[in-house]
Amino acid sequence: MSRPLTIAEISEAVRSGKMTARKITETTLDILKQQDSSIHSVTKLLAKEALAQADAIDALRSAGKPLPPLAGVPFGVKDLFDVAGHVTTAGSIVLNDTLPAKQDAPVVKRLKDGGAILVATLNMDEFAYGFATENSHYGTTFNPRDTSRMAGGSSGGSAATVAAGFLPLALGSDTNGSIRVPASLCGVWGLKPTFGRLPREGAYPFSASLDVVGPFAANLSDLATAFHVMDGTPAAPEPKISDLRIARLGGWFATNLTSSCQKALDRACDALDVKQTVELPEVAIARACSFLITAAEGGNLHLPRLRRVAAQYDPATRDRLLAGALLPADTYLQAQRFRRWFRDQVHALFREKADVLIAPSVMCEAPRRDDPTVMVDGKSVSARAYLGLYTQPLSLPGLPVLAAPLINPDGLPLGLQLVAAPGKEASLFAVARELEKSGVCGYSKPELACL
Amino acid sequence: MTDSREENSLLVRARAKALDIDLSPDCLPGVLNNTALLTDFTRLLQQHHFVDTCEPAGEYEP
Repeated sequence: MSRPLTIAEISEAVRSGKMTARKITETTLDILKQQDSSIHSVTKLLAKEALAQADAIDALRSAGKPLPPLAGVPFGVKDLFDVAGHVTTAGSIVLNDTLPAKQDAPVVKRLKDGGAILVATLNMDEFAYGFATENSHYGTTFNPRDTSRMAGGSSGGSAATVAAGFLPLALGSDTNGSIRVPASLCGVWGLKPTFGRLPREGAYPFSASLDVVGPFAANLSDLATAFHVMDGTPAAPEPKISDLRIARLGGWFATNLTSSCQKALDRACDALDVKQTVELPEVAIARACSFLITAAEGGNLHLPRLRRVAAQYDPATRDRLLAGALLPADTYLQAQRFRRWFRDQVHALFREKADVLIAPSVMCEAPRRDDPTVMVDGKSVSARAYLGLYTQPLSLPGLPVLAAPLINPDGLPLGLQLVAAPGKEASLFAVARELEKSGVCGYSKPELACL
Repeated sequence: MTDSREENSLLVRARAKALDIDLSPDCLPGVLNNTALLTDFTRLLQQHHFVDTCEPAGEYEP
């Protein structure tokens, strides 16, 4: 089975007639059927709809009509996006009795309108509450770089399927790091756009104050292409790298890193000739507030169902949501006040000191699945609770963050976050392009045992 | 806030009752553990001084 790997190659193959959209779709479905058992990234194949859409693309070409930009590009979605005719599970069985979605989520529709072909829904932590993609209903997703390692979560199926080379594009959602953490552990590119920039209607909610949706891709160009189709805007001109003030985040973001991660970050900063280090204030409280707001809003969202069918939830999800539902209103309101204060501090930093900030997205390589721990402050602690150490504080101000796969010559992929002021995704793409060009970021497809 | 596990258990069960949640014995230990984590985060947040004019983010624009 062979098929072009990238969005650019696939759309060009279809446009030129080198391959039909049907052939690409059939090959992709075969790959997923035969090889996904090695990583468990897929929850449902959508073969019938995908082949019908592929035939429509091929008919357009046969009729000599112009093809949309993503013609024939297969993609998958985290199992919380509405797909017309299917029940949106959000990684749970709790919603199984709800009616099938009447229409695709707007971002899914935009990609389909752009010619991309939806072939599968992808695994996730139940209701997106986790960093592991260990799902008691749909199984555990493995990291394709080393299947004994965690893929990260909650959009782990999306990151893993792209990292494995099964799909060139997948959608996820990010509340506290659910795009950035799995992208980094699996060695792919991910984008958490500015809060509110992409429509999140039709994506099953978790925390209304923090949820965003975004893409994963195996290379930066594909990530940017997908983002602009999802955004419904032409690609904005990217600023010159020499015009950008780039700074490294110190303090909180410079502690608890493994030596490999420290060295990889140093290489990235050297490649960009970064001289300035800046600090954000009260980062520990910012992380606490992301945690508290998520718990309270998630708990509130699920409370009516928890009263009726608590036993249907994964016990770990249930207990987190119940604790969140019990948080006092005072705590939630204080956290929202802090959110406003922190946002003002961050905006001031962008006005006065920097255009793009660099921070790690994880402190280490993907933890082992049989020992899901990380080291924080000299102690071995739960990876599930601490993998978001660097992503959670940056969720709070709603900034756009690009997760870049940081090459680790000593082992498995690491990750960095490029952070910009709201709406400045183009600056992130400019800096990321430089990192990709300099060879410090970006991985190719791994050799899975089954391939 | 109290540090005693037993008192925390009473507090959690009282809050649950006020919200009409039936906390089964199966879930009580997990809820208590998660509540302890959230309590730690709340204590951290309480160290921050707010001016009275700092409003909750509410209609939030990044």
